[in-house]
Amino acid sequence: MDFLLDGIRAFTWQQAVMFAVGFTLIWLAIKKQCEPMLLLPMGFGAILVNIPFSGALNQVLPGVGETQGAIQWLFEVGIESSEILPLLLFIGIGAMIDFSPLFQRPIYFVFAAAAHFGIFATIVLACVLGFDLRDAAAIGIIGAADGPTTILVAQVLQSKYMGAIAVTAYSYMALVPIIQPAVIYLLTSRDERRIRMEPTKDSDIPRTVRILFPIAVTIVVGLISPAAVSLIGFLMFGNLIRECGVLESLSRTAQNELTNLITLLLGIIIAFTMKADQFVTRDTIMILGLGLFAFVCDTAAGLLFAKFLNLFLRKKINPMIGATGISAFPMSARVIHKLAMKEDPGNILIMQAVSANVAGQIASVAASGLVLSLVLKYLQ
Amino acid sequence: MDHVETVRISLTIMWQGMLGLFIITIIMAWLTATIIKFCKPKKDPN
Repeated sequence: MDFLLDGIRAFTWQQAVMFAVGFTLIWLAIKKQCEPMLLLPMGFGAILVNIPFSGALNQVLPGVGETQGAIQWLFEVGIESSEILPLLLFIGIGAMIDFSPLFQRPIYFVFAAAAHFGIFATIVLACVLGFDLRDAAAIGIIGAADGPTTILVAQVLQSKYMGAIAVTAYSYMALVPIIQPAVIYLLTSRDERRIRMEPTKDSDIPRTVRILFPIAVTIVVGLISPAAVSLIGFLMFGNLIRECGVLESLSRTAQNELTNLITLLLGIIIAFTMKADQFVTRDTIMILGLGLFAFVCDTAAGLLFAKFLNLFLRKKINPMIGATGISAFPMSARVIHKLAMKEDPGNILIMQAVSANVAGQIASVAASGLVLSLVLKYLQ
Repeated sequence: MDHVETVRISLTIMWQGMLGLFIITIIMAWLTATIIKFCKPKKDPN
């Protein structure tokens, strides 16, 4: 009856750690409601792939040969060979985004550029800490605050840390309401946080603009950063479906069924990269630290850029708007709106914050494309 | 690629990437404003 004990005997302390990680992710998802749609499948997947001789992974069985494991097969087909799952998710995300607030204030695009400094600062720090260029770039993309982008870039660059990077990115995205206020309090005075911005009367945006915008973004970003074409193209394709006005049914499907299905699969498939031997390492701790550094740098750079602009502007900008240029939508805008209301209950910044926040969604994809182009150029 | 060379390249990626990102966002801001300007219905002078 020895076979009943095979699994228990093969159980290692590293796998026990991964079980703890899995339980923590499930607890965060259910109890704290932190990104539950991804952290829960990832947490459960972490347990699935770390059970000794797990049938969810490919195994070599005596007398039978290699058998296919469902999670490993899904990873190889859906992410490793084509990166199709994160890309399909982009269609759904694009179909969900309403760019109207950005059309009222197109200049807010520049805040999104500043608020992605964390990506590049983290790449440098990761290289200083000894990561090679490919892994450093994949780790830096955590600063895009965008889960599917992070997974896709890590896969394109063949980073061996994809699991740790994905967990770090989603965990810190869920912690935006804690990270951003801490950095904002550190870098701004109360008077700066109380700066009022004139409410703008939002005008109607013609449908032609809404249709031309996703096409124009795809062409501009694609021409400057060809490596980002699939990322930006799928995102904007989803948005075009939403805005064209003749594909209501497809738009609804992309926003609901497609997004839910891909999210459901993506979480559990990413768990394939959370095998104990790859995950329980000193590097994972460093990636957690670097991810936090990326988010802090993003917020700080956005804030400082807005403060810099205020040196030249007659009508001052509330520097907190600069911090919303990240891709964590709508969480970042909501955080800044609440902070502004806390300092001055009459100060309503929600529309300005949302404008910078949706710009951040495009900028994160553009930044990722630039990182891919540059890293691939230097790896040649 | 040795360590010093990797760090040097990462610094180059940082400034080139940030510059590229600012260029893309400024073009996008300008293009969006231009599209809106041309697509807005003309007000009737009467």
